[in-house]
Amino acid sequence: MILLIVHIIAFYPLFTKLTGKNNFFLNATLSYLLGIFITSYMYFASFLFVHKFDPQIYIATLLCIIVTTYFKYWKLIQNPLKLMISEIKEISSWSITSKLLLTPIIIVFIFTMLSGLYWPVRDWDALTLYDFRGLVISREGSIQRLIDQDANYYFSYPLFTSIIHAITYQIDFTSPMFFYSLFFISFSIVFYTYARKYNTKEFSLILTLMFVTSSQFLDHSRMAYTNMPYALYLCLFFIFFMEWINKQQDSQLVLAFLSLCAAIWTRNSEPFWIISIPLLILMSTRKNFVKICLVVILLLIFRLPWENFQHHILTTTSYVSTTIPLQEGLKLITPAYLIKLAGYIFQYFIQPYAFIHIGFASTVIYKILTKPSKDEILHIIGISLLYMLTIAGTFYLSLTYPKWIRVGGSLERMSMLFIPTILYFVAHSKILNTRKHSK
Amino acid sequence: MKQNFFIFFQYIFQRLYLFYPFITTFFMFVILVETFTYFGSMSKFLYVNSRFAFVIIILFSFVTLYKAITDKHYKIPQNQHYLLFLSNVTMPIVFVLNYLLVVSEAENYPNYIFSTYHINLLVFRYLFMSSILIFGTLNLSMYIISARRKNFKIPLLSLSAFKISSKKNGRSLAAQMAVIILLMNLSVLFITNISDSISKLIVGTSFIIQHLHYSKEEKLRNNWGFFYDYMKFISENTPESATIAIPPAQNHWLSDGNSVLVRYFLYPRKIVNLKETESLDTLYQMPKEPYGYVLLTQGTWEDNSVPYGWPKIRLPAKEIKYFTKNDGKISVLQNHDYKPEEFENTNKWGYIKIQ
Repeated sequence: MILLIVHIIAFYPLFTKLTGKNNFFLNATLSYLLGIFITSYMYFASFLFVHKFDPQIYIATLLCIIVTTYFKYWKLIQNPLKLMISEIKEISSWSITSKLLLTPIIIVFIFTMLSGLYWPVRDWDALTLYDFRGLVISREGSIQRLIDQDANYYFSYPLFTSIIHAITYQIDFTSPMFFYSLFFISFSIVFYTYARKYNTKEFSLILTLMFVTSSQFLDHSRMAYTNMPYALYLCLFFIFFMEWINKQQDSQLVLAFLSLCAAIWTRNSEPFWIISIPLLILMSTRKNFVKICLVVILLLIFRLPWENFQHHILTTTSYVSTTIPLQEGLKLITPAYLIKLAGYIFQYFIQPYAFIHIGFASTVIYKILTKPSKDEILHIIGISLLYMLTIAGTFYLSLTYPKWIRVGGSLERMSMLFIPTILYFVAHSKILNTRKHSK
Repeated sequence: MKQNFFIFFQYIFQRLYLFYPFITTFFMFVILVETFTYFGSMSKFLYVNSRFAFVIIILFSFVTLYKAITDKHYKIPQNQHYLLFLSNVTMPIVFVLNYLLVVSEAENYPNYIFSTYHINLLVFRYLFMSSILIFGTLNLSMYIISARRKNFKIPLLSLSAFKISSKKNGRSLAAQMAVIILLMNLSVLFITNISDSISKLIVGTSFIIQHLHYSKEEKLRNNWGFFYDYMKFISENTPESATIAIPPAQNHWLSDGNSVLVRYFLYPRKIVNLKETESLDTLYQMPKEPYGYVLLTQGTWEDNSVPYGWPKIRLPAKEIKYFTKNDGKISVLQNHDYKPEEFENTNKWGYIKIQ
């Protein structure tokens, strides 16, 4: 709760500037979603210099951010409290249909918040990896124990959520589970806001309701895993990237860049960030060529600190690789093997999300038949690249990781990013052509 | 009254053929979903299954064909053109696929197709028969019309579906079809999501309300059961500086031997163990790193290849402290060496303090 409040306070002016809207709920939720990534990354960066995690450094970072953002952007801010009240009043004047659609969404929000406040971290990987790292960081201010005991396991993923857990234990009074509930709710609000730009209130609410009631996300909003934050950050990238294509405003590109960096900082092993590069290249013109080159370079640089740190830890400890070389793996390819792989992909990728895939396919067909605009073409290309990477990545894993057949659950969890991404694609495609008013 | 009802019924019956494309598309969608899930999966949400869908398709095909035969002025409705196109394109594919699947199943073993590709062959037959029926109905209707009119050419692929524009919004019928499929898809997704989440909300919220008084310990016990109590016993009876040897993570000891899991509950104690192997010999060895304590554990996972109880070798012990799972009674043995035969297949859990 404290983290929510301090991040809203710290980042609200910055995100008011970046979004260009004086929408309290949108700016507050983005302040939390992207602000918490920024502070946790800066905390990790400070660790690389001082070799310890000190909560005083974290608080000092927040104070610096508050001073900077308010000094620069205070003129942009309208009274947030007044804005919040006026937005709530506006909701109360909605039609009965809209209110009926909003009610189950609010019920789901209350439920996830209740679960986040009630339950401690309790799921297997959440306890053993993410929460354990957070516990060690909060109590010892150092990661030496993790390096000594099992570096291979403890440094397989970036420290993002573990830092959140550590800070929560040190300065907040709620369970770290509350972060995941708030994350889920915040994203839902952002999703609705941007879906609303292209559709009526009712259809936007229906799509938002479909997202919040999807079993994968409803479950993950009550689990301390990194799959949900990763999937939602990637979807945020699509949202802001499409906004940038439409408006050509640098602020939208900055938001897209931040979202992608947040995704990398959550889970760096998944290669989906790569799709941004061909999309940026396709959008490059003489005017924005330098800007795009800068974004690509910054993206590659952003990955370096954690990757170098991870590499350093693993090479200086008794790291044992569990993978086999690709050349060896290629020898496994036979027709029977390919059929087995196809069955695996069907079982863990196609089938659990069949309705989503059909939704994407039918929307693409519709767009092709009705002449898509530039942003819609890029949107289709982006999601198609996600599909290709998923299949190619699974194929690569099957050749290099001997126990690949046992980790179908991982593929299913990783693929949940298609739910919000494709729902937003449907929203963005204006398929019902239902948007009649500008608000 | 009876006569009015008959006229009304006749009126409806004469126009039922207009709904043929929508009805067949919807029910084919139902059959398609159940082909890749299981028979009856759609009845949870829509109260129809693939058998019912097939029957409806038969009825409407009959109605459409009846109309084509009896009405001398029968014309193919605009919305049937896209269905004709779809049917003519997909029917050969479904036909060939059906042949391949049936032969594949026959060459391997019963249920091979379902276990390998998760395609329900029984439901796929409904898909196959429905495709044939729709194909036959539409093309026979075309043939009947061509027999009546001299210059009528039977369109094989009816590409006019892509060209004919609706007067309302300029979208081609094919584009409208894509919208219909999307909306149907979203509707099913919407209904399945809502029904899934209602049960989760009710169960989750009622548990929280009924157990508001639960402490963190009780909440973790609710999730981890006996394993949590065992770990709590160990953490309360060993110093924080202890190094504890645990079994390899194999056979019965997939939890007790999982070093990252045990490390969480016993933090900040150091945990050592051997890496798990396929061989039972690993259970008879101890870690090479020095340790002061050893878990005395039966194991919580089922496995027929080895008896419960670890360690499996004799160890010199300063103290053995254990509790019995049934009654929680705690016993302490001082200066009593550990002998595995005394503890194997019992309900005794605890630790051994090494000499």
